[in-house]
Amino acid sequence: MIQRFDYVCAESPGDALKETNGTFLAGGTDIVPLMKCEVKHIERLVNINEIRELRQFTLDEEEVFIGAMVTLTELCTHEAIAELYPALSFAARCVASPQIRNAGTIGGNIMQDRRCFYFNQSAVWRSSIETCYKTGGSICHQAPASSVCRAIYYSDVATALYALDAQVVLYDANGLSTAPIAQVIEKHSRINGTFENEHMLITGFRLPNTGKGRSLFIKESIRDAIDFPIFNAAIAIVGDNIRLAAGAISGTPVELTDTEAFITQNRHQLSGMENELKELVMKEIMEKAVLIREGTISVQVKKKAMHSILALIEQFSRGGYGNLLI
Amino acid sequence: MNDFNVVGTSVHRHEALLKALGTAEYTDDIVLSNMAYGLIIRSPHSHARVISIDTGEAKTVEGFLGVLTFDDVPKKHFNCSGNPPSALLIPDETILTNHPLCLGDRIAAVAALTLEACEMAARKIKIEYEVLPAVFKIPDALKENAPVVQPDISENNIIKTIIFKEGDTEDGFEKADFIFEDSFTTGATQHVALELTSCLCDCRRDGKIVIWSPSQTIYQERRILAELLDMKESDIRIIKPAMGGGFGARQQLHNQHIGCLLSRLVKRPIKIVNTREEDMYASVTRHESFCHIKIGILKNGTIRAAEIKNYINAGPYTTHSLLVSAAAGRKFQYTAPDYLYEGNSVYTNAPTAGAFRGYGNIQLVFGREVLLDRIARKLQLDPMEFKLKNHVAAGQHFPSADYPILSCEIWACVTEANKIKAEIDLKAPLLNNEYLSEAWGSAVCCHSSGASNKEGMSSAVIMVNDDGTITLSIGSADIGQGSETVMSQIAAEALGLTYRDVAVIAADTAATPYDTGTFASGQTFICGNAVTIACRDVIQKVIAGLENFYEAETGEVAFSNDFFVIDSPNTKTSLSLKQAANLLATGMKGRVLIGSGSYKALGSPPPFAVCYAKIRHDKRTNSIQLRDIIEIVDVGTAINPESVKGQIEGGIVQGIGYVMTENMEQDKRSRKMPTSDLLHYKVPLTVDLPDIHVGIVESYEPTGPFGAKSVGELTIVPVAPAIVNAIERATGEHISSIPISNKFMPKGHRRLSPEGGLL
Amino acid sequence: MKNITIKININNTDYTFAAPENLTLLELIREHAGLKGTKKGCDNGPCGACTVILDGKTVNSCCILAVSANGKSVKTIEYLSQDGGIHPIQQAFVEKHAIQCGFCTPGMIMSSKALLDRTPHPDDGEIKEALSGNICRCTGYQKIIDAVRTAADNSCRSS
Repeated sequence: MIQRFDYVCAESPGDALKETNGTFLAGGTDIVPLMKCEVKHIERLVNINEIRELRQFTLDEEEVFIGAMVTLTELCTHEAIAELYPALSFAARCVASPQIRNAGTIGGNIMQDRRCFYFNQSAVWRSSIETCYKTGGSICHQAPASSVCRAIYYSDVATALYALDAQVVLYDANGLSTAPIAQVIEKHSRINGTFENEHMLITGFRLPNTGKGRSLFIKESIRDAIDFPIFNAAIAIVGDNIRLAAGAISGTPVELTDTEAFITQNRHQLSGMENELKELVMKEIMEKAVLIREGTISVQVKKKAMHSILALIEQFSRGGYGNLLI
Repeated sequence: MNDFNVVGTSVHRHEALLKALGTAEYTDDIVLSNMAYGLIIRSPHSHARVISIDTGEAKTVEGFLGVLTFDDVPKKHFNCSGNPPSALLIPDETILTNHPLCLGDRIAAVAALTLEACEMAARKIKIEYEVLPAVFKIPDALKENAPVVQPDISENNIIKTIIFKEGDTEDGFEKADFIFEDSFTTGATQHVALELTSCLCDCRRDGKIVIWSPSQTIYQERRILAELLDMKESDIRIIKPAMGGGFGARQQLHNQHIGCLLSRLVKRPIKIVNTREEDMYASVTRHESFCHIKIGILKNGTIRAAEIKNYINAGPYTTHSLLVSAAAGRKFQYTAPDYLYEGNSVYTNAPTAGAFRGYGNIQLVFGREVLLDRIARKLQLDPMEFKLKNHVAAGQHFPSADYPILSCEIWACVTEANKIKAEIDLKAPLLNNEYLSEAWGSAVCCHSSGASNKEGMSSAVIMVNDDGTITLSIGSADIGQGSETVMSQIAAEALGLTYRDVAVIAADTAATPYDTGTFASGQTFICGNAVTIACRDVIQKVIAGLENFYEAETGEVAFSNDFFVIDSPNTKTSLSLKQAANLLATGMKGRVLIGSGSYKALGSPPPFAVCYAKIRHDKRTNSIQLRDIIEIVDVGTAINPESVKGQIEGGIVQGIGYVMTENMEQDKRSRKMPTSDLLHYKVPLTVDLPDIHVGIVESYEPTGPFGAKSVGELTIVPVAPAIVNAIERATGEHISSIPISNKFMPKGHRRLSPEGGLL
Repeated sequence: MKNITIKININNTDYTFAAPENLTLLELIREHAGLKGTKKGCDNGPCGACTVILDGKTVNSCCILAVSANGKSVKTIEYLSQDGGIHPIQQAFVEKHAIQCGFCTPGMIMSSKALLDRTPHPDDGEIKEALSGNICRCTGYQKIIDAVRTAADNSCRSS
C-alpha cells in the first residue's frame, strides 16, 4: 500500500501554488507507482484534476494551446492535432497502453520522473544498496564516478514537443511565464535527478501553427505497448527550419543541432549527400547520448536501434514534407 | 478415425461463464470472518547472515497481531517440490532462515488486522545483516574457489550429476564422419501466472487446518505440511479455488507453511498475498542453463552419436532441480545408437528455480534443434528431411529410455505445417533486399508430462444421481488448462451422457480422491485414464443392479453403444444410464451407484510438435520482427480441440517471450536481480505477435483415454529454436544464447505511423 | 489517521465511502465496495487485470487514487451482468474459448467493452491496440481477439 500523506484538492492554479510543500497529482500513472515504491516520498499531495484552466484546448491560425491536463488519449484522437502535428499525435499514441493514455496527461508526461533500474524498485529492494542521488544519497550506481544522476528521461511526447519547438506556459515562484520546452525539461530533469522538491505548475503548451502535417515521430521499444522507448525521435519543419530531436538516450531529449544546420544549409542539394547526412546524424546522436545499463537489452542493441532515425528522415523526405533528400 | 460423441467436440469450459462474469472465486477473493493478514519479510541480499532482529517496535503498531522469526518456527529441512517423495528431492530449505541464500529468502513474518498494519509493522522490524559473498552464474559457481552455497550437501556446488547412456559415444564419435558441437545458454525466466501467489490458512481451535491456495499438487503439499507442522494428513485440508495460472510455479509449497504458523499464533485465519515483486524473484524461476552438445554424423546424414553435458542453475535450494535435469535427458527423439547425457544441477545464490512448463526439456531442445539445423545447412540437407530421417518411429524408444513410443505422427505434422507454410509463401514470398532479410526456421520436439513419468497416479469417484446425471470427483487440479472440462467429456463419452450431465468436484483433499498432482495437461492422460476406469466401474455396478432388478443371469446385461442391453429370457430391452439410474434409484431393488477407479501410469506417452517461424531481420537497426509462427501437434486424440488449440497458441506466445524478451537478469553492482516487476520483465502483448497458425493431426495413443496424450508443456518447447534457426538463416550469424535481446532489438507490430503504415 | 469522504457511482449505484487518502481505486472497489471481479495482478500498471471504466474510459484502477475518483462514475465487470443476463462480450469470451485461467478476463472484457462502445466494428489491428495494455499469460491472445471480433459481429447482427 501507499504510505500515508496529506491530501488536498486544488480548484485554481493559485490554490495549487499556495501548497509550497506539495506535489502535484495529475493522471497519477507515473506518480502512484512511484509512491508505492517510496521513490517519491510525499508529504502533501495536491490534486490538480479539478483546475479547469488546465484542461483548455484551443486552436487558431497562429497557434495551438494544449492544457497540461489534456489526456494523452484526447491528444492522440484529436483530428486537428493529427493533421497539424502528426509527430505529437503519434508520440502521444505511442505512450504505454490505452489505460495509461486515458488517465495520463500531457503535462504529467512531460513532468514524469527519470528512470533507472537501481531506483525504480521497492524500498525493500533498495535497502541493500546505497541511496543514490535520486533517493537522497550521493552516488549514481550507473556511473559511480558521476557527480550527477544518470537516469534517463523517457518521455515520448517531450521529443515531439522539442521538434515542434513548443513553448511551455507555467507558474512557479516567479509567477506566470512562458519558456521553451527544452529549458523547462532541462530544469525538471536536473531537479528530478535529486531528492529536491520541484515547485512548478505547467498550465499548458503553445505550439506555433506550422501548417499541415510537417512533422513525424518514431519510437522503438522492446514491446510495442506499455514499454518506455529504447529510442525515439521526431522531425519537423517549423517556419523555415528543420528541427530534429531524439529521446530516451540521456537525462533530457536532445536537439540534433548540427544535423539541423547541415540540412538547412544544404536544403536544395541534399540529393547525393545522403551518406554524409547519415553519418553526421549518427555521429551527433552518439556524441549526445549518455547511455546507461537498462533492462533486457544491451547498450549495443540500443546503439543500433538509434539508427531508426535514418528511416524517420527518409520517410519524412519521401512524404514530401521537407523535400529533404530528393 | 474414431466415432465419439463428446470426446473430440469443443464444448465450452464448464467454469468459463463464472470467470466471464467476474464471479469465479480466486483465493484473494475469499473473505472469512475474523480474517487477518500476513506478510513475509524477505532478505534484500543474495547472501547474508542475520546478526540481529529487533521486533520490539513492530508490536506498537495499531492492529499488530504477531510476529515469527527463525527461533519461533520448526527448523526441519524440507523440499517444497510437489513431486511425490523421492531421494532426488533433497531437503535443504527451512520455513524461515537466519542465513539467507538468495534475494527474497524468508526471514520473518508478521500478522496484523490489515495489510497496511502488516506493512507498517514490517517496516519497524530492525534486521541487521552481515553481507556474505555470493555467486550467481553457473561457470562462476563451478570455479575452484567459488563460494560454497550449501556446504552440508555439496562441496563444489554441484548438487548431483545424473547420467543416462546407451551404447558407447567414444566409439560412436570415432565412427562418425562429421562432428559438430557448441555450447548453448538459456536464461532464467518467470512464469508470471497472472494471479499473485496467495494462500488463506485457517488453523482452527480443534487443531485442524483448512487452506485455500492456488496449488497444482494439493496432496504433496499436504504431506509436506503434515511433516513440517507435525500433524496428521487427515487434519489438513487443502482446497484449490479458481486458479489464475500455474505453469509449474504452484507445483510446490509456497507460503502456506507461514500462513499456517501465523494462523496458529494469532488464532485467526491468515491471508497472505505476494506482491508482484515477491512473485518475480521470491517464488521460483525457470532454470537458467548452460549446455554443451556434440553430435556425430555419418556421410549419409544419419546421427551416429550424441553427447550432452547439461548444467542447470538451481539457485540455493534443490526443489525440482534434479528431476528437471533428469527430465531433459530422456527426450532425445532421434535414433542415436550411442548416446550420453550428463545432467548437472548447480547451486548458486540466484533466485531459486523450480518447475516451469517444459521442465528441463525446453532448455535442451533449444541447443539441440539449433545445432541440428546448422548441421543440415552445413551438409546442405533439408532440415526437416534430415530430422525425420533420424526420428524415432512408433515401436522404437528414445535413447536410454526403455518405454516404447506407441504413437507418433510427426510426419503428418510436418506435412500439415508444410502446407500452411506454402500458402504463406505464396501470399508473401520471403523478402530479401538491401535492408530487410526474411527467413524461415524450424524445430521439432516432444515432451512427456508427469511426475517423473512412472510415478503418476490418479483416481476418480463417480456418484450416479437419481436422474442419471453424475458427480465426478477427482483430485486433479484445474489450473486454467481446462482439465475439469476434459474429464467431464471423458466421463460423458464413457457413460453415454452429454457433457452437461457431468458435475465436477475437484482438488480438495477432504472431498476428492488422491492424485499425484497436476503436471500440465498430462492430467488428460493420467487422470483421464482414472476416469475411464471409474466409468467402467460404474457400468459394472449398473449391470449388477440391472441383473438384480431383472433377475437376469450374469452375462445377460451388457453395456454397448451407450446403452445397457438386457437380453434375458424374461426381458429384452435397452436402457440409457439415465433410465437405469432412475430404475435403480428407489424401491426394493434400488441401490446406490458409485464407481471408482485409480490409475498408475507406466509411462507418459510423449506428444510431438513441429514448429516453423518466419522472421524479418532489419539490417539498419539489427531488429528482429516475427512474421509467422506455425505449430502443428500430435497429441493423440484431442479431447477438446479448441482447448488444445488454446494450449498451442498460449505455448507459442510464452515461447516467444522466452526467446525474445523475457529475462531475469543478474546485476553485478547490486549483486541481485533488478527484474522485479512487469515493466522490467517483458511478457509479450497483443501488439507484439506474428500471425499464428496452429493445427492438430489425427493420432491415437493406445494407452491414453480415448487415445489422448498431453499437450500443455509440449507447445512452448519448439518455439525458441524455430525462431533462432530463422534468425541464423536470415543473418548468417550463430546465436547460441537466448533471449536474443542482448544482441537484437525485438520489433513488434505497432500500427499506424502518421502515414498509416509501419515505419 | 483521518478518512476522506468519497462520493462515487459504481455500476449505477451511488456510494459514499469514508476512506483513507492512500487507498487506490482498486482497493476501494475490492475491499470497500466488495466487488471482487476486478483483479490485482501487478499493482503498478502494466498487467491490466484491474481495468475498469472510469467516466467512459478504461483505466488501471491500481494506479488511480480513490480520492481522485471522487464524484466520478465507475463501471466494473459486475456491471455487465447486473440485470441478471450475460453481456454479448462475455458470451463471446465463453463461446470462443477465450478464457483459460480467467484472471485476466475481467480486465480484458472491460477493455473490449470500451473499444466496442466507441468502435462497434473494429478491425483486428484496432482490437489488438485496445487490448495492448492487458496481459494474458495463458491463451496467446488469439482466441480473445476472436471473441471480441465475434462480439462485434453479433451486436452488429442484432442491431
